[in-house]
Amino acid sequence: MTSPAAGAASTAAPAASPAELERFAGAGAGKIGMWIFLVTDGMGFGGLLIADGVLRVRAAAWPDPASRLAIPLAAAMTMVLLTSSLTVLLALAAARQGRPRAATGWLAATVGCGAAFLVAQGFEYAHLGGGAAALGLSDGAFASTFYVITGYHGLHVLAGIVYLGTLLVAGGLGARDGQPRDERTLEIAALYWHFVDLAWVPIFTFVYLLPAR
Amino acid sequence: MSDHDHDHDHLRLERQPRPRPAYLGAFAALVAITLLELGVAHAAVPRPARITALAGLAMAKVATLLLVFMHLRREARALKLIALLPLVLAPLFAVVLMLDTVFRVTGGR
Repeated sequence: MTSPAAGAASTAAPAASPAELERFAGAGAGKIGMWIFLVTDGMGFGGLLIADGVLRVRAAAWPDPASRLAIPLAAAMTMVLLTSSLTVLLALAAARQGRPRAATGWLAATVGCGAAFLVAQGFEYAHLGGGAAALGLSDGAFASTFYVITGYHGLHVLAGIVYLGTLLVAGGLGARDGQPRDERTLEIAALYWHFVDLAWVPIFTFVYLLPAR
Repeated sequence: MSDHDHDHDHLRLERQPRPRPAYLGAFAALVAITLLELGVAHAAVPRPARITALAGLAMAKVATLLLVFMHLRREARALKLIALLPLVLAPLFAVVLMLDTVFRVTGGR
């Protein structure tokens, strides 16, 4: 006669091996985990943009973004983020081809682009917060939604800089003795960085470019 | 690691396709769409047409980033479903929120 515990153990599904986990959806656990994280994070951005839309529709008056925000600066920031998405891809490609120096260089360029984006955002905030027509965080729904959405995105850029910067400082990119090393780690980090770029696309469109009523 | 495995990894490294042309093409498209967005934002066209065009261009950029840069087109169907979930849920939530707003404004009349 078997004990209840032994019976439960015999009916429990065996633990999945790393190889089995690797086969799920043709991707590893880390990659699937990152995609699930990005999906939930995307919902967060979606919620903020939907709130912005509802406030905009219900507001008696909504300033024209072009009259309050620096569109050319925002466009330049967009270009910087797009460039950083390309450089992180080139870092990944170099790592896969066993060229660690090139991978490190492209990754450093990506971190540099992220830092440039944050500097530009700081400049934008300083410019908006100063002068006679200063735009403060509590100066109405337009200002509040602008600072919350762009600030939330800025925090993501900062997190990405720390993430990629850690990979850069810790080393371990590219190849050693012809063997690809930590390629998957970089691929997962690149996914996060692309998401940072992707999240900026609707922000640039709906916060900066969408005309007022 | 055996010599056979070592050779296999060498072959894998050598067989990695050089993806630069595809990436550079997608990057050029993203830059072009961004410039187009700036043109549309300042174009003298009716507001609904501008909003539609801007939303369409933003969706094109998102699709390019997802499919080319994030390699979603090469992923398995299960992973595609996970990734595309917010694109279905976010509009659903937006519709629910709009109905709620309408209800609050009209008082259910």
